[in-house]
Amino acid sequence: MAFLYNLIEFDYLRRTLLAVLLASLASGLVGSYVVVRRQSYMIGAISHSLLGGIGLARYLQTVHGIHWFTPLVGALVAALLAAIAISVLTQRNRFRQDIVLSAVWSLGVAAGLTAIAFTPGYAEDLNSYLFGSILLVAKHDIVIMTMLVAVIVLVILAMHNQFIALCFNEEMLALRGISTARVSFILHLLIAITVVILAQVVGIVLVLVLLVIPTATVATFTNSFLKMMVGGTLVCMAFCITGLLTSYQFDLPTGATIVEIAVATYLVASLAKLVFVKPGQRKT
Amino acid sequence: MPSPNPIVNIENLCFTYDSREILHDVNLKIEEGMFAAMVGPNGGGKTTLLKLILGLLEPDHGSVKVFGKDPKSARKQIGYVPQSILFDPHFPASALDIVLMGRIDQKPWWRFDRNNRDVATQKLQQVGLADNIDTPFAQLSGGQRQRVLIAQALASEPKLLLLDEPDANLDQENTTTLFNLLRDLNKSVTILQVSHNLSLVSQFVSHVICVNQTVDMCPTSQMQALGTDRQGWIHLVHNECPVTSGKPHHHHHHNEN
Repeated sequence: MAFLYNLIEFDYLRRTLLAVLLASLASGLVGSYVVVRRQSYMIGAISHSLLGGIGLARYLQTVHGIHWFTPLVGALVAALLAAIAISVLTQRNRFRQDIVLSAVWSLGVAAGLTAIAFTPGYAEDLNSYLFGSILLVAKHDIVIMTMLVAVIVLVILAMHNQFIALCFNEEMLALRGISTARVSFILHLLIAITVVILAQVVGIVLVLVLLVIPTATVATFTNSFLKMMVGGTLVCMAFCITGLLTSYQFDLPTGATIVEIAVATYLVASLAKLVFVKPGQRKT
Repeated sequence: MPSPNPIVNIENLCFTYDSREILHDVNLKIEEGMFAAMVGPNGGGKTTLLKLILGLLEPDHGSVKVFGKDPKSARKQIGYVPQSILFDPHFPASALDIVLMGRIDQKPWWRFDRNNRDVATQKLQQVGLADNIDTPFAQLSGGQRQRVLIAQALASEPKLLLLDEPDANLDQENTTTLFNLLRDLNKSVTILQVSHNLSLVSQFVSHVICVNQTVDMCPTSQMQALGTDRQGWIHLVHNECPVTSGKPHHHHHHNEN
């Protein structure tokens, strides 16, 4: 009840809920492709590369006074660069994907640490970037997040059929005269944008769970891609709001609480399916 | 009578992968209306030959022409059914959604329009799945899934249909249904398929192509002309092009990622 009262009273809580809504939309829409295409490892790589961009942003802000280059802008730049690097380097098996992803993953963290070394007084808010600071989302961050979600929705409306064909069979897409390199590149950019949005809620380290678990939970019970998208969005919202309330009530770290609730729900859902769905009707 | 313009014309083709010669001096003409099956040992070059015809691989020597053109520019007239093992059987899509992917070059906006959905529905009816249009891919049987993939290949209205082991992992009954369907489709489309089951496939096809580094094509009608029973003819094929003789090869997969 205290939460509801504060929600009406405080601007920052309304902003928090808006951020949760935007993040859940991104997770449900883009997460569905990630789960179907089995690309979770790529999310880990892109999310950790964010640290490099955030470190650079804090360095430019603190040392050079470039204030428009906020951590969110830095994160976005780093994520898009990581997605471009991964797309170009893994195309036509130029380099092995797992090696490229590992390199991007660690290089992002390393770049962040280097930037921290050059930035006075930065280390203390490192925690909020690593593990999330949903309650600290600023007004201009919400504006950028809204624009990013709008981009995701528009691109999916235009290219969903190509994305889904890419997930089903790349070769077939190429044989119909469509560049698989181009389609997978655009999908990687959407994944990068989604990682940036979700990192605002749970932080860099915990993004992976929030991007994959909501749609994966829904996927245990449905064979419809549309239901995965809609259900994934709703389930992600449920995870975030329950996590927020619980952490608020018991004074726990918010990002961690959301992740724990998400993983616990996924486990219960998978077990429930094992127990209650007859083997003949079982999807997996 | 061989026509002057075969649908597929392969001349003096050689293909090497990892310094191993997979195909050597291949000459092959697929004429319009043929129903041909490629047989041969694993690693003998059957899938490689299909990928050369699709332009997914380039020959080291020699030439491949499809409809008189470079394979890449002929692709739109080819329907291709890859090995079913490459597909996720739990993919979250209905049979109709899968077939519609075959019309991806129509540049749809979120949903395919009525016309494209009608074509896809008609292809599902053609492969005998009129009752399963909205059934999730995951709830179909292996034989039904294979027929959905064929409907997907047909959705682009091809003149040549290529299938890579459509009979893999199917029982005798489903395989017979499948080959009957293909024989039916052959009335309007030229078919070239890879098969493991020579004795069964030879009852349905017009030509058998033995692929084992080299390539030989034999019309099934010559079986009667030679007056041998099917088993005898199979032995003949085996002796002419060493399907079973020679050292066992390791199975190679190319370009799968």
